[in-house]
Amino acid sequence: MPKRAITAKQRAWLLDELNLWRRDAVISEQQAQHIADLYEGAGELAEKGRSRAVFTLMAAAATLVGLAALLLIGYNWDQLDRWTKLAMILGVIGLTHAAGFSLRYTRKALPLSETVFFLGCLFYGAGIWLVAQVFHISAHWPDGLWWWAVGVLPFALCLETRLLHALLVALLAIWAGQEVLNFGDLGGWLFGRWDWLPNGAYSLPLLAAPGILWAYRKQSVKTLSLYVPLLAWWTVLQVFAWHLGTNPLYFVGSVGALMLVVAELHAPGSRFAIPFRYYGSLLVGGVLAPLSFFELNKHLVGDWAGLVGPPVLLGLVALALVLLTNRTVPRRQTIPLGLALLMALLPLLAAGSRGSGGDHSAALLPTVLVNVAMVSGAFWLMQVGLREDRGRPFGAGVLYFLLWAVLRYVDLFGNLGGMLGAALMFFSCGAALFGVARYWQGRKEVRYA
Amino acid sequence: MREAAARPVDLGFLGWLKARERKILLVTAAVQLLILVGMIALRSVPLVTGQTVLVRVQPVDPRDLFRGDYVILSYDFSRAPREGIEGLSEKDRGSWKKLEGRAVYVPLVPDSVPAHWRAEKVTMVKPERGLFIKGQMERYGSMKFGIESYYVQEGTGRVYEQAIRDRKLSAELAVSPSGQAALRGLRIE
Repeated sequence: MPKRAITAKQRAWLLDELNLWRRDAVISEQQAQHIADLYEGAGELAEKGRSRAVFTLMAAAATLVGLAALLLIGYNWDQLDRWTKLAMILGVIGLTHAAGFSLRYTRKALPLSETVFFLGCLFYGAGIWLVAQVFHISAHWPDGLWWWAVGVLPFALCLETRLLHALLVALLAIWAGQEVLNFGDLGGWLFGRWDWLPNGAYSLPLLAAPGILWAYRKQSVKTLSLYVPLLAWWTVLQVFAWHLGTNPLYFVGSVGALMLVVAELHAPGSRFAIPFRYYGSLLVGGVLAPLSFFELNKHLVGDWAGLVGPPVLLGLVALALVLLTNRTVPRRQTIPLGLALLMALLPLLAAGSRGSGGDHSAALLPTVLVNVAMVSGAFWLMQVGLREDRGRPFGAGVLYFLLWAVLRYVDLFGNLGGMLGAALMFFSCGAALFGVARYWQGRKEVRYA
Repeated sequence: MREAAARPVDLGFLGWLKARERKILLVTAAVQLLILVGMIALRSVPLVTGQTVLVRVQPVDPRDLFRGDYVILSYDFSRAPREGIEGLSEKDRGSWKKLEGRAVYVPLVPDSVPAHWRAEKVTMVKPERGLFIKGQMERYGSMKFGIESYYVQEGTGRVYEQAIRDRKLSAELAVSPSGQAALRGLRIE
């Protein structure tokens, strides 16, 4: 039976505990040995650590060799004729992949074969640009990135390494960014250009989907963490592709809130929720912070020229996702869904007050709502930390609450309350955090009693 | 960066991949090479089957001549006013935006300078006979023919830069019967 994976830290804890249980006669010497034998031993852990270090070094070496080869041929030697250069390019790619096959299937050197295949995929990408160079091709250059990504995808799915997923994600991210931001006027592509359809890099979700499926099936949260920001990036790019206004703030916030909703669609405690929650929190938190200022809201309600439809649509998508999967709004979805609906409501409020010339009363409601959302979001993160017994979301919640407090001090008391105002603000924050700490302590005592 | 091997493995999607791993990798490696060979073949068609002509290269803003190690080339037919484009409907004439991405044709005729050719006109209608280059409308009346970049060895571009300034640079184009053009080289007179 294969031994279960364990970290060195977990193993040290387990051995300490086993010693204690043995001393207290909870388990016998034989049982302790049997339990310890279920997990990877010190030798295996050391070997795993060495393999990881060697693999990392080899991957870095492969990247550097790939770059060196690219620059070497890219120098465009006048002494070499066109066909010699082409033969070199094709030969290098073919030989590299052949070496990868030999290492994987003949010598059974799996990690090394994966590094060599990675190198082959780098050479393939370099080859696309070098062929373009040899023939002086002046074409729509993001197509080269797309073809590169298509050539990398099957390797990423078949091999065990995340290196190729990282390469694929980087290629797709650059490709989508270039298509939308630099070639947005060309029209959408689907076997030809379509003028009526904005260029939104629509094949990205299709190319990313197999990798995401792979990550879930492989139980690889780290791989999923590569694809989640890619999807967020592509969604945000749609604002620019569809020319949906000059202010994408609410839309970016909506994307983040939708990611928080998706995070909570996972089973309680699922580690796959973490990347969605992490990037979702960054996006929503990043948007809420500037929107919590009264002056910005005054400006937004006065001269609104931003998005209304897309944030509302994403809010409805979030609501539909929650209701379709639960038929009701579960408690853990309250804040994520509330944020998604708030991000849908804010542009409606701003659009409704358009032309008010920065009316104070019109800006007050969104300001209050955003501040409530910031505080709620902070406490929600703390609650997630408590629920899952994880320090990071709890710490992030505390930090976000402190950020809110500092922002409000700058905003409200900077010119008004002076030192006494600041003292009051920080005293209130300290008291609130003290209350949270006591609450967590109480929860822990109940849980582990 | 490697995944732990001792995790529970789903036999559906991953099992399907694992069972065909060698074939998939082999086919993908072959496809990578085929994509490159396809690029080479497509670009070689005009070089192998096409007629070679010389066209004068237009000077462009010297500050933008070199990006990295390639020369940006422009031709006398690289831009045209809307009224100068034959075969445009009245509706199309109203906006450059509607023209973006549309195919455009430039028939070539012999120039007064020996061995050189020049554009006769710019038209949206594919010529039935004669030598012509096929291109694509871009923003604000500019056209691309896929022959606008010439890659040079690092540090050797200054010669071409000076030649363009002196109007002594010609591009040697291979033009296929279907209008596809490829850059054979640059010639300094």
